[in-house]
Parts: sequence; structure tokens; C-alpha cells
Amino acid sequence: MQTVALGVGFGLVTGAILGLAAVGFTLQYAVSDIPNLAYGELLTYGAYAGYLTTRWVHSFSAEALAAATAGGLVAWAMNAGMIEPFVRARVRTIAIFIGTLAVSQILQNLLLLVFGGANVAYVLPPGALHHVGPFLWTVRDGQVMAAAFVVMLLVFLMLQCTRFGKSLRAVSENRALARASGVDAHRVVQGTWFLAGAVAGFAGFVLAVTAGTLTPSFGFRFLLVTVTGAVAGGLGKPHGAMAAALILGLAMEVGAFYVDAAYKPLIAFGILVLVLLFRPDGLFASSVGRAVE
Amino acid sequence: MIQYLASIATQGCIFSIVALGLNVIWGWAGDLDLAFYGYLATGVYMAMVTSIGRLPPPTEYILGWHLPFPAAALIAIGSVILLASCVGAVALRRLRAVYFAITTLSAVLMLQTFVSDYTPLFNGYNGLYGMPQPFNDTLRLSPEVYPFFFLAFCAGILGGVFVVLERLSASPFGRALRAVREDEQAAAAFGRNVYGLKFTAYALGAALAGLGGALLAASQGAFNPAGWPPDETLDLYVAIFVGGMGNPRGVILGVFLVIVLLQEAVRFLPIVTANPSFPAATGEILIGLMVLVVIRYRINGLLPDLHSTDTVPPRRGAGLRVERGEAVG
Repeated sequence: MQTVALGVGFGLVTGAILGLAAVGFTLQYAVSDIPNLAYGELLTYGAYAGYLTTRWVHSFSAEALAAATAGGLVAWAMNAGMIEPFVRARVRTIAIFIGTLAVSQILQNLLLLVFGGANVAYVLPPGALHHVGPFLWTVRDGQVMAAAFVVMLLVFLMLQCTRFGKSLRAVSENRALARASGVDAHRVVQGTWFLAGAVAGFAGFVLAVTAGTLTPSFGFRFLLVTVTGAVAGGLGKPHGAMAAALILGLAMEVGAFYVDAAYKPLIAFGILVLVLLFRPDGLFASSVGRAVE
Repeated sequence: MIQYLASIATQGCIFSIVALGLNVIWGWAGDLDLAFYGYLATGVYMAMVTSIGRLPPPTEYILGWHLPFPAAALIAIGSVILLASCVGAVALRRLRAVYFAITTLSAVLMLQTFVSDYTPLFNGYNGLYGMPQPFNDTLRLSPEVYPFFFLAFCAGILGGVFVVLERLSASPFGRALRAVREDEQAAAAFGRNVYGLKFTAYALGAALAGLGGALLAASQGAFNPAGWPPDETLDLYVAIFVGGMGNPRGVILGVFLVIVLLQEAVRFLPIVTANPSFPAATGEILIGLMVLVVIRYRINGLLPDLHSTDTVPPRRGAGLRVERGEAVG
């Protein structure tokens, strides 16, 4: 029982980070209908931006801000420079999808050129251990969770209560209809990519400081679990992604007490396969499937 | 120098076989398979554990047999087909194109994690070594001559694969696959078994990856997880795009241009930094840019597939198709 509680405690930390990552991924899919395989690199760029910031200042908020800005800018540039021109040129969706993998390669190897392939240590001091109820968390874990939940809450409120959030949901449902109703779809898509990139950059930063190391391929490695979270929540549904990511994080960390921790991605993959086989529209889908022909 | 050229040409032949396999899956059946490098790697590993015998500890791995090369290659092909059937059974069933790609990408990432971390399978991160040269225990060729024999052997197999695929391409099977690629619903309406066709194509493509893997094992002699980053599947796609999707001749040309020529050319880049990853990273960036250019300007490759109808974009009703996230030329 004690170990399960510990697993749940770690799971909440992992789930919080994963929730952030999955929300950004799903938002980009929601407005552009293209799963962005270069999404992992947004996490990586955010993490490296946070890491570079420590050359000048050491502060959680400054590093987080740098990470979010970097992720947002890269995502915005990717949308403006690649996705939108390609969509306008009527390139097939599947081809654009391959293109995002190419962008992922380019971004990853640019980092490799600049920083080399070696591990970079990027550690926030974990701080003292605290028993919170049955859970065991460090101060850093608390910071990470608090920050992640605040960011998620902000995204949630933005989607529900602001004009931009409403437009975003409208564009995601049907871009042509939204445009016909006077929504500036172009700006909404651009804004969403920036927002999703900022969330991703921030997620990359918290992921890096929790893991303690950083390589150019670090975000790509995390892409699988991110995508699993987003698909399990129903692609394009931010609320579903948050909930599914939390469940996934818990499943991975609790599961890691029973199998070797190295196999955590295997748990994620198992869940992805089960979801795709039985609930291809996500765990919380109610209507008729879109994933299935 | 001539030895170097022979080794490059051998690599080209092997990767041509592998790319021809991917061309069956992507070029003919239209399935965006991102797990393909995993099949190549499985082929390499299986060929090695069935022919290297027992290496001294601490290496550990399954089987450890000492079979002649053809038997090892057959086992490699068989295991790859088995693995691909498992992945295909899940991923090909009912799933939309993008979900298929996501599932296969997850499958290969998972495979790599598993192979790296579970040492009793293929010795984990450290990998395997000591692959004997095929047929050389009977031929007893000198180290100067053997590479040319092996090149001829690989070229011969490539030739055989090419002839078979050319025949298949023009056969009812090849036509049915292209029909499925162009429009699954229409093909199904004409009585084609879409799932069966896709599954057969997937297994056939993977089998070629297994064959290529066995040859790669023989040509490299050693292999570890660092040798198959899953994203290198992209290189094979570039080769197919550049050469001409669907056309076996084009694919072989693409492999020699992109994988062989480009990869070798970046080795001769002037070293401007102390960064050891500089040439490889530059090559990957060039390949990435090439993909973007090819798909943006919808280049059909140097030797386009004459059977293809995919090259004519539908004009009327295109807007509607965009909304459904479907193919637009």
C-alpha cells in the first residue's frame, strides 16, 4: 500500500508534466488537423532556453519564462514558415505530416551542431523531502506540480472564458464555418501555435529540471508518451488530454514499481495500443468515431 | 580507394533492398510506416544471433547458433515478418493514416527501448559483434578480394528482388494495391479486400527489410542500438521521394543519390568545429530540407511511377476534401 501511494505521488508529478505536453500537442492538432511530430523539439528548445538563462540568472520564473518564450517562438515560426504555406499549396495532409518529421530532424540536428550530443546537466536543487499525507515529494516536485497545474488552469480558463478560447474552439470544430461567422481563423491558428509552443517549452523546462539532464534528442524521446496522452484524451480535445495525461502518468509511475523503470515507455505504448484498438477517439469520447474509417 | 568504393556500393545495394521494401508499403499501398527501421534492425540482430555462435561473457543474447548465412537470413526474414504481422495486425486495422503512422512510430520507439534495456535479448546497449563473412569459410577469399565477392552477392540479390518487384508491380496485386492507395472506399466497393491487401504488402515490405538486415549484418559485422535511430526511416522516405515513389528503378536511383552520395559527401565537409557530430548533423539537416522541398513543390521524383494517378491534383470539390483532412493532390 505504501509503495502504491509513493507511485501515485510520483505519478502526479509525471502526470502534471505530461498533461502540459499533451495539451499543447492536442491544441495544435485541434486548429491545424496535423499531428506535429516536431512537437518534441519544442520541449527541447524550451529546456535549452531555460538552461541558457542560467548563465545570467538563476530563478525558476525567469528560466520558465525563457523556456515558454522560446517554445512559443519556434512553434509560431514553424506554423508560419512551414505548415501554413504547405496547406495553402494544397500539399496532402499525410505529406505535411512527413514534413513535420523532417522539421523535427532539422531542429534536433541544429541543436546537435550548436551544443553537441553530450548530456548537459541541468538540475534545480531538489530541496528537502516532505511527507504530504501518504506521498513523498521534494520541494522541487511541489514547485513543478504547482506550476504545471497553474498553467493548465490558465489554459483551461482561457479556452472556456475568453473570446480567443471561444474562437479557438470554433476554428477547431470547423474552420470554414468559423471564418464565415467572422472569426479571423488565420490569427487564431497563429495564436494557438504560439500558445501551444509556449506550453510545450514550459513543459520541456520542467521535464528537464526534473530529469536533471538534457540532450538534443530529449524532447523526441518524450514525444511517444505525449502523443499517447493526446490520443488517449481524443486528439484535438484539450480537456481530454489533461485528464488522460494524468491517468497515463499515474499508470506509468505506479506500474514502474512492478516492472523495471526503464520500461515505462512500454507501459505507455501498451496503453496507446489498447486505446487505439478499443477507444480510438479517446477515453472520454461519446459520439461516433473519427479515427476509424 | 577501390575498396572504399566497393564498400559504398555494397551499402547502396543493401539500402536499395530495404528502400524497395518500404516502397511496397508506402509507394504502393500508401501506408506511412515509421517503424521500418525497427524491422531492418530486427533482421540484423536475428541474422547475428543465429550465426555468431557464443561470444565470451559478459555479452548475453538469445540463441547463439552457428548457422550458415542463408539459414540465418531466412530466420531473420521470418522473425521480421512475424514482428511486422503483430504490428500490422494492430495498426492496419481500421485506423486512419495518421493514427497508423503514430502507432508504428510508437512501436519502433518501444522496440528500441526494449532492445536497449533488456540485455538478455541482444546484449542491450553494447550490441553484438563478430558476424562471420558469409560463405568465406568455404571460399577462403583473401581480405582484398572478399569485398568484391560480397558486393557481387548483394548486387545479385538486389537484381533478383528488383525483377520480382517489377513483375509484382505490373501484376493484379500491384494494381490492386495502388487502387487501395488512391481510394480505399472505391477499392473496397470494387470488391478488393483492403485489409488483406495492405497486410500482405506490409509483410512483404518488412520481409525485404529483414533480408536487407541480414546483408547489413554481414557487411558491418557489429551492431548496437545506436546504429538504428528510428528517425532514420526518414532517410529512406527521402530516397523514395527523390527517386520516384512507387517505381522500383526510381527507388534504387534515389538510394544511391541520397543515402550513398549525400552521406558520403558530408564526410568530406571541411571541419569547422570541434564538434564530432558536425558531419552527421549537417547531413541530417540537408535531408530534412530536401524532404520539405520535395513535398512542398510536389516533385514526383526523377523517375516517376507511370502507374500512378496521384500526380494530378483534383481541382473541383477540393475545398470539401480539405475539410475532411483527406488527400488533395
